[in-house]
Amino acid sequence: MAIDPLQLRRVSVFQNATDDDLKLFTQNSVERSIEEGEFFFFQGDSAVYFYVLISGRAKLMQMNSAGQQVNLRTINEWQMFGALGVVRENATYPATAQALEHSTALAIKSDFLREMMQTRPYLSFDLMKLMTGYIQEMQERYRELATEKVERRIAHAMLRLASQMGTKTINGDIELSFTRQDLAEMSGTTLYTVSRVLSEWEKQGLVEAGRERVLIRRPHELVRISEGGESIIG
Amino acid sequence: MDTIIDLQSEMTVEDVLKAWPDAYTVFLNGKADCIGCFLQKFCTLREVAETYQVSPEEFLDVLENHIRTISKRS
Repeated sequence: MAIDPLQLRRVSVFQNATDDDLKLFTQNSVERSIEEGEFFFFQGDSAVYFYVLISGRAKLMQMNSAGQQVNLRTINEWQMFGALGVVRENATYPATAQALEHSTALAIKSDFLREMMQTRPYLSFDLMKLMTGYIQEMQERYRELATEKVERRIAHAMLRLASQMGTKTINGDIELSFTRQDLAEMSGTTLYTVSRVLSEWEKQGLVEAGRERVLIRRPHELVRISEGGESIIG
Repeated sequence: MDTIIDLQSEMTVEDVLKAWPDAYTVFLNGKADCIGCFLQKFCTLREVAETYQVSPEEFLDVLENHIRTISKRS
């Protein structure tokens, strides 16, 4: 699938790039198609390439030495991922990238972007914006883990997922697909607790929870819970 | 000449804040949770009005008057 270089302007880090620069990035890229469940790279691999997802969906996850896995974020189309090697030479990927559905990405050498950055301040600035956004998100998640009740954390994680990958249905509900395990990892809790909270919310008519799909029926109520409003679970 | 402000009830909160960033004060003054909310791109002005139990027409009027005042000042 050949892509029009100008489409790369949809990538936040490339939003201020000139047409010529976008062509350079495309010319220096390799297209990689990954089947659902397969991997773009593994945690600990040398971060030689960074990626731009052009179709499909992927997730970034980290594993500890005991094999416990945590989902860090979902990557959607036109998002950049695996870019640590751009700012740090000889870096290794801090996370594993797995395709959640059949996905295609452009792989570009991290060295190449680093060289381009020397003469193009917009690249450094826009990459910094992406990084500070990530830092801010992680700080919020840390604060949630340290201080908030589990219902708030689950509501927050669901809203964050909704903003990243939710779609609005014709009835005005917000639909998103994830496993309960994903939600448990994102909220720093157990599968059992997520199931308990979701079924309680289902009884209250806030959500309709399937196996790998959730419909948020009353989004505003969920926002209220995430903001620390009255919890409907005792 | 007055600025043309084409507010529609099916516009999302995100659409409005992108077009008229100063409109945020209307949401804040109305004690709505929309500012900083993850769901800005999903919620329409009509839904916001319904959630906070105000008439959509009234809400759109307040919003439009505010935007018009701000536009005149700048």
